[in-house]
Amino acid sequence: MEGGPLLTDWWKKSTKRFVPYLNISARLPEKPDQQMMTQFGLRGFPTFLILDSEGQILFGKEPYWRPDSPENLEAGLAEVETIFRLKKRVSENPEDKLSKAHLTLILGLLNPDQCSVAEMEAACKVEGVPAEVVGRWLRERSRIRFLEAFGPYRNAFSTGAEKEELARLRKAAMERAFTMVRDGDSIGEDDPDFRAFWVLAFDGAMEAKDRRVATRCLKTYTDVFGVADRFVKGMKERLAELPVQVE
Amino acid sequence: MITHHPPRAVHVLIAFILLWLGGPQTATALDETLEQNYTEKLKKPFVSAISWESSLEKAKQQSAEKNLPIIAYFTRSYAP
Repeated sequence: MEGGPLLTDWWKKSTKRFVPYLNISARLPEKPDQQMMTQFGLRGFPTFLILDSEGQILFGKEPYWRPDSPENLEAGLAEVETIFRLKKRVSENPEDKLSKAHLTLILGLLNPDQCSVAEMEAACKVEGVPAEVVGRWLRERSRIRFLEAFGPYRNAFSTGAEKEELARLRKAAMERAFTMVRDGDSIGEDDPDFRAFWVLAFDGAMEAKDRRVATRCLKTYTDVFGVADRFVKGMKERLAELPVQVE
Repeated sequence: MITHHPPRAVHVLIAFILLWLGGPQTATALDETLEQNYTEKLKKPFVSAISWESSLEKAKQQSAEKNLPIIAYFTRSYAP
């Protein structure tokens, strides 16, 4: 980077569109901003981030980004320019409800674990907010809903909690996943907890003796992971033993 | 033949004395190298190619004034 892209004309000209900030880790505490790598949770070099005027990461950490070509620089800036455009609109016209709602959703999605669910829900209801952003929030909301119950169980499992405690937390996670599927909600297929979600939802449905939901869980699970998956045979056998419900 | 080894505590004491004598000098030499590496890094053409901000606080101020994003580049001078 330093001997190539950062010396090019396109890079030099592009600096009108952003504020360039250079952080050099020197292992000398008196040099400027030596704590920033830790503060931003960064591990490797080189790293490029796009930040806002509060120092919040807008882009660059995940996925990893490098402005090593005009196209890559453009792609990174395009990710954040909407935020700056909306911020400008809101500062010029604080009554602009649409821009405010759109901005709330975008910023909330950058930091979903810290955002206010109530504010995000209210923003979704504002007419004219892009459907794509609302869709992203709805997927995120489902993930948050599942992790509320699944997170404690996973933590207890990895820290070797007592058997009774594990069983209690697993039951809570099962009930949550089952309720979500029953309500027509689920987490995205690209979510790393997708498999856990459907296994727990199936177990929750079995516990509730809800054949309809259990069947749906098994079908979704089999569609994604295939009939040869290690859990499918057992799930099928258990479902077969469940009494057929009379509607 | 019986060989008398000095007690373990003597070894430890000697090690401490050596560290005490050599430690500060070694630390200073390391600091000097790190300082030199940092100075060399600042001389690289990419640093003078554009007007980088070296303080995040100042970069944030500029970002707020100009309504522009900050592109932060994290690099190091202590290793290649």
